[in-house]
Amino acid sequence: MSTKRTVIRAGVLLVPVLLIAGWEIIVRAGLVPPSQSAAPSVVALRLARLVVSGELPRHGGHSLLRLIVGVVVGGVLGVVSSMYLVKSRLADHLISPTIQLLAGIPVVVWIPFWVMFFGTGEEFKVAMVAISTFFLVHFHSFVALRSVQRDYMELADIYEKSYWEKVKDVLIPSAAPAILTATRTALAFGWVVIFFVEYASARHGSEGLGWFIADARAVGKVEEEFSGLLFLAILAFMTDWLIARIQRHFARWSDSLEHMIAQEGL
Amino acid sequence: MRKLKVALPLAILLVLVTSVSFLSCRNNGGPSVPQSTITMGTFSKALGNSPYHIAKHFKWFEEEPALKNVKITYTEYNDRPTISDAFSKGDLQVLFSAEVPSILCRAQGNDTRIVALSANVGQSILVRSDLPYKSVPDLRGKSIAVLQGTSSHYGLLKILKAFNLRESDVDIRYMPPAEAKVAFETNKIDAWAVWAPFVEQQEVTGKGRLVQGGDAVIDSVMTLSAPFIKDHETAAKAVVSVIQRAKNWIGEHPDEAQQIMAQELGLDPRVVKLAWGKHNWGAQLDEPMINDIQEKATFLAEADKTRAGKNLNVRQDLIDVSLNPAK
Amino acid sequence: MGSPLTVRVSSMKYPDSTDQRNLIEDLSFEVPADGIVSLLGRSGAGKTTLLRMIAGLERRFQGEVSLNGGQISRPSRDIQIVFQDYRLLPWKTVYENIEFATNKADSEHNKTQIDRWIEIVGLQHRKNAWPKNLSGGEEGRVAFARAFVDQPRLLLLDEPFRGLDLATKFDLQDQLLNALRNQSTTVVMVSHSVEDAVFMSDSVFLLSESPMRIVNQFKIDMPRPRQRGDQQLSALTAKITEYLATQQRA
Repeated sequence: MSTKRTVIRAGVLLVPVLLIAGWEIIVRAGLVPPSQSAAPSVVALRLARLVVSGELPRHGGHSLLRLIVGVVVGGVLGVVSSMYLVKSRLADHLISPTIQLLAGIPVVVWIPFWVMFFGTGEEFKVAMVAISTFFLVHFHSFVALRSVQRDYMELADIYEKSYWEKVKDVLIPSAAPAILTATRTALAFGWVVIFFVEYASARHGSEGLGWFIADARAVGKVEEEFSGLLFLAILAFMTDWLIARIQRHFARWSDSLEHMIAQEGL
Repeated sequence: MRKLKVALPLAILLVLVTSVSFLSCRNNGGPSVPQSTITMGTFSKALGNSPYHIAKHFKWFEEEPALKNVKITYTEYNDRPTISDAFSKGDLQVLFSAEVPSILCRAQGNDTRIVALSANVGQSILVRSDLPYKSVPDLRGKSIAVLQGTSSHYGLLKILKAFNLRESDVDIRYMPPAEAKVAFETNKIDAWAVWAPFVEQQEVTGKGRLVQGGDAVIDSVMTLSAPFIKDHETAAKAVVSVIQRAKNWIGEHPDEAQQIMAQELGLDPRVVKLAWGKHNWGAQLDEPMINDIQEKATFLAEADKTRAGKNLNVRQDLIDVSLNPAK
Repeated sequence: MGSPLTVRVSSMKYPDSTDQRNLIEDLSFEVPADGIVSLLGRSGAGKTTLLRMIAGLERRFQGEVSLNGGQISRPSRDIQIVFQDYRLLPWKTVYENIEFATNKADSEHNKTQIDRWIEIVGLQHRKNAWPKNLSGGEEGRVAFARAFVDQPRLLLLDEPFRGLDLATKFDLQDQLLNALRNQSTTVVMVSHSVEDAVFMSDSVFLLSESPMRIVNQFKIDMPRPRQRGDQQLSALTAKITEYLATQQRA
């Protein structure tokens, strides 16, 4: 019976394998213009070569670093700001409407603002990721902190807990699953943002997968272009997997449906 | 159940393949062009493409009997990947550009051929007049704007190599001419590797001056899609002959030609005048020129600036002189 | 180790301000140090509100609640509540929930106490479990351990045995009595079950509804440990039940 289960488990690979095989066939059969396409077999080899040479890891590392710094900065600010607005009714009344307004702006609109402050260097790229992360985390955190039942806070009062102890032992753990879910979304979106700003980056050798891909495209290096994209996909998959694990860990105490979904890593 | 396990994936694969094959049968250069439309375009604005602009201005393409029932569309591209894509879809038949974009497209896999030369001119690198840099080694660590995949890009790489500088020894910024012009004029960049008329625009205002550019030349060429040549040889030959006609006319009417070009490209006549003398309007696609193009193709391949490091044998794969009326 | 409690409420309005009537009116009672009393009445919000007032969680009333002579004006560790839903923090294990009740300072002493109480309530094998995986009875035991660990002077219980099956309920009651044997304190328990009240308490106060006041008091002078089937207890239970029934009819 275990062979049957192994086969069923292996069946998960069926669709990806078919898709890749289809892609290979389509390219080899000339069904798409060769000047614009590359076969997976060739791309795989090129990808391997670029990884071994360290070129893709170098660019990937830069993209990853920008992304992580941006997500952390935006995430921490988002949690702190939401905590402040939950604590102070007055601040919520005064500030929340503006935040809601700004949150609705498409992220591209922030480009000229950040360029104005930071130029087009590292800070700009990080700021773009940070701003999109901030809004996502702020809102989810705000809702989660608001809905921490009064009961638990009362309990903390009985035990004469200080405000910071309440934050550490009640507010944050209770809101952690929601915050991490928002962070996971922000991370996924952050990959798009970072690709976009790197792709448009003029500086030669400024590194980043977006830049690498744009550079390859400009001179017609289609295999490198695809390799860059694939490597980006792999990195994005890995970061998502990692944060899903973190999410699962911080929601392991929960029996609510949405937390269970987080735990399933969906 | 077992049968379904095998049948279902095969069915999916079949659907994938058949739906894709319903896309119009594509080859590298694009589908056969029906007699009714031809698209001609330039890559950016360059004075080296003047024969094209003159012919267009006088409607000499439309006069050709071989092109009588043909709708001709004129366009301009701002980046090379779009040109490659246009060729592959059959949306472009005739391209006027420098030789390097054409080489890169061919290396990428577009089925295209260089069939004629419009003109050639020496490469220049501009530097801001307010800066003290006299030669390329002075530009170490300085910012230089250039558009990727152009002849100026090649020229820059060549001259860096000549002075033993690596790409990383200077601060290269990839920008199209429109953006670089603003950056240059607002002092955001120190130098600019670009072509006429952009060079002369800065010279005329005194904003920029030339730095020793080395001995590279820009060959303004005419590239045709191979299916166009194959399926509509008479039309292709006609287009080539019009260009030659324009080149002859330029040689005979230089002042008028400059006037028309200033108008067509929206330029200050002083700019056109300054650039005009630097161009060789009588250049042909002869052995020395073919050698030059081969040398560039080899250089780019060795610099890993072409697809799969492909070093073209330009005589075999890229250049087709059979359409040239001068032969 | 418990303190004497004095409760004097002249009036308290309904917490939601639309109702202008009094929820509680002229309710007074006293509990001696280490005494165990039950407040018996119909299930409803009033009794919980009363407990919350004693705990210092509800302050909008006319009157005074004092512990050992000192007025209770805000919640503190001296007064522990076991809530109806036990209210364990879901993101903390059994051990961590009990630890949460201890004072930050002097962690060595705390560790000893926490372990001691985990043993008293018999949850040694569950100390790293999450609340979501505990049975109702186990949750109750954690709630008790948590309430006792920091040596409270007053323990308030809000229908702690409600909704449990008989076996679990009896077990939990024994747990509580066992805990009190280990560390005595003053206890005020709210209940809707005459049997439970009689079994556990020294005194039973009967409460009326709308407005809430004490309508009768029964003293139970039996030594502990008590037997559940005891004749005297059964007789008293029957007497109180009969009394409540006549009140109902009236």
